[in-house]
Amino acid sequence: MLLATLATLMVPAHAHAQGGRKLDIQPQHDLLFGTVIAGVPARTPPVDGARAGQFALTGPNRSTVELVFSLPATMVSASGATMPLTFGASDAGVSATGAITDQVSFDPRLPYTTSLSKTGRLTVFLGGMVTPSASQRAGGYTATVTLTVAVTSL
Amino acid sequence: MRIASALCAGLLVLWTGARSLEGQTTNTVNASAVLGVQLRVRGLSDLDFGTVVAGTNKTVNIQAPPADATPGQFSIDGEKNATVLLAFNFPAVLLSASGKTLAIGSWTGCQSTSNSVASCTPFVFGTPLNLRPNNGKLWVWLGATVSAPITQAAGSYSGTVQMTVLYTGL
Amino acid sequence: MKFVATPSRSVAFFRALARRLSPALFGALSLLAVSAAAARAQGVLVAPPGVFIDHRARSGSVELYNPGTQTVEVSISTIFGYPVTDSTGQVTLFTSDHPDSTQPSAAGWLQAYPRRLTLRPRERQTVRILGRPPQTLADGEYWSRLVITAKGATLPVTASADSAGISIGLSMEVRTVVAVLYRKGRLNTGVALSDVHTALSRGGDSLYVRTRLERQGNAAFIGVLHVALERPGESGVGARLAQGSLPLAVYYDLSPRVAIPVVQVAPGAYTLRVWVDTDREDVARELILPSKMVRDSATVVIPPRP
Repeated sequence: MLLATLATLMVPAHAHAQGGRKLDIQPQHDLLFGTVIAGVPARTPPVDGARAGQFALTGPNRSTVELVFSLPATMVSASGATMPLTFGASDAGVSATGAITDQVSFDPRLPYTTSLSKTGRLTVFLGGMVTPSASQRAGGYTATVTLTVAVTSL
Repeated sequence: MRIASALCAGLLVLWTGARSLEGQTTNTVNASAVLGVQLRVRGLSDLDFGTVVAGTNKTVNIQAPPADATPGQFSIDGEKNATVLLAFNFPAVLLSASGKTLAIGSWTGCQSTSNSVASCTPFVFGTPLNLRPNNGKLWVWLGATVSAPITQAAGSYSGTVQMTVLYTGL
Repeated sequence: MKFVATPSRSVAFFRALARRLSPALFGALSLLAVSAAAARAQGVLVAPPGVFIDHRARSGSVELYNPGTQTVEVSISTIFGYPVTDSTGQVTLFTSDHPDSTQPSAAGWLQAYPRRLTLRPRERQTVRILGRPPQTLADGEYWSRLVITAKGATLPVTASADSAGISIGLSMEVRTVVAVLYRKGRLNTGVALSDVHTALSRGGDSLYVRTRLERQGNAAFIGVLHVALERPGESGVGARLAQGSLPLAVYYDLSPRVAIPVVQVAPGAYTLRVWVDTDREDVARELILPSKMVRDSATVVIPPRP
């Protein structure tokens, strides 16, 4: 039992050595909704190259990874006003080639398991929707989306 | 056994730390949106002349229109306290498909910061109008007169009124 | 706006009149069924009211939205223009189809894509504004106005079934004009405030405050003019008896007028405070060039009312 536990616990360091690459995420592009109109929902699809959020993942070649988003429910202005921010079942996608047109869609609200490419790369795209109210206060609104990636194959 | 448990717990802590360093990582992107102030112009009611008899003029007086007529009405929503300039281009005549004309003119305007024609204030076309400070709304009414001579030919007549809303705060 | 005959009303009136008139007289009259279901103004919602384009990106955008129930045809053009004040202190817009070479006009080299579009009810469209300035464009700020013309796509003119009936179709175009500021290189701005003077309205219920604002630097000043009447010897929000403000943009100079209500203010001497800051709610903070607040004050006497 103890030996089995020890064997499991050694895996991450082993993965690092064997894969030759540490797991890493780099944000490539913010999720942008641009100018929105009071009372009119605005959606940015994950295939929108100019507006979709984008992360670049690198790690052990062909390793299996679990992606977990931390998604805010609101965007906040400098004055503290809030604007609802929602994500749908097809608002995220992954691409092993990095091409935005080559995505496999997934639900960002749920943990998602996928694989890095044979060169240890993966690009994650994120869309979403804001729903400003008819009386929404003018101004800039921001929120932070967090992506956590864990290697699960090693 | 106690030593084994302690070792196991210690290694678990070590593993957790190692996983966060080597097997798991986190990063963020920002989501952003800008809710811009917007200008919205809507037509609320039609300028309706009702029935006109040839050989007569008919005027749609904004605050006292004929029983079968109504003034045109628009609303403008914008930034509170913003200055909006309204400019109008009115046709002098309406044209039929065959080129016949029907005179229309004597355009009148009335504006209010509430949706009440009874309290509206006549304005001179070209005068800047201020939107209401508390919610940036303005209502505008239009009236006009058609002049149909007794020889006015039957048919369909058309023309275009152009209303320009200029946001002068930028 | 569209006028369409209403056959039921016009025909009924026509027949009632016909019963009263002799055929000869009736024939001499043309009955105009100028019933006019005037067409609804085919306005679109435009946001934002100002587009800021950085030379490095050379593009910006506006959002158009059709909140109505009819399809709208939209066309977009550019014109050179900027706010000015008239002799009464009202802010209006100077425009020019052919600005001379000394004017910092971007109207000639800004293009909207698409320039024509159709918006169905509840449909939204982003219009890109692309800058194609000359290669020799010097650092500075260049101005234009975007003219968004909306017109109902289908405005049926319904002819009366009666041969003597006449229908009138009068369409309404709504044009919304918003600002475009194209910025290249290092920019700075500010405003100088001078010549504060006041006048009471005829009935004495409003105090008109005018001042001269002159832009400093090489870019338009975007801010707010505030005026407040305070008790003498006091200052701050608690001392204010009346106040007003005006969002404005000073491209060269302005002499705006702000009216503040003084009907509740007792006769006497007061301190009028005038200041200009950049605290705009309708423009994102990062788009406003930094500038120092400027202020001035004067003594104002509210005379006894007759």
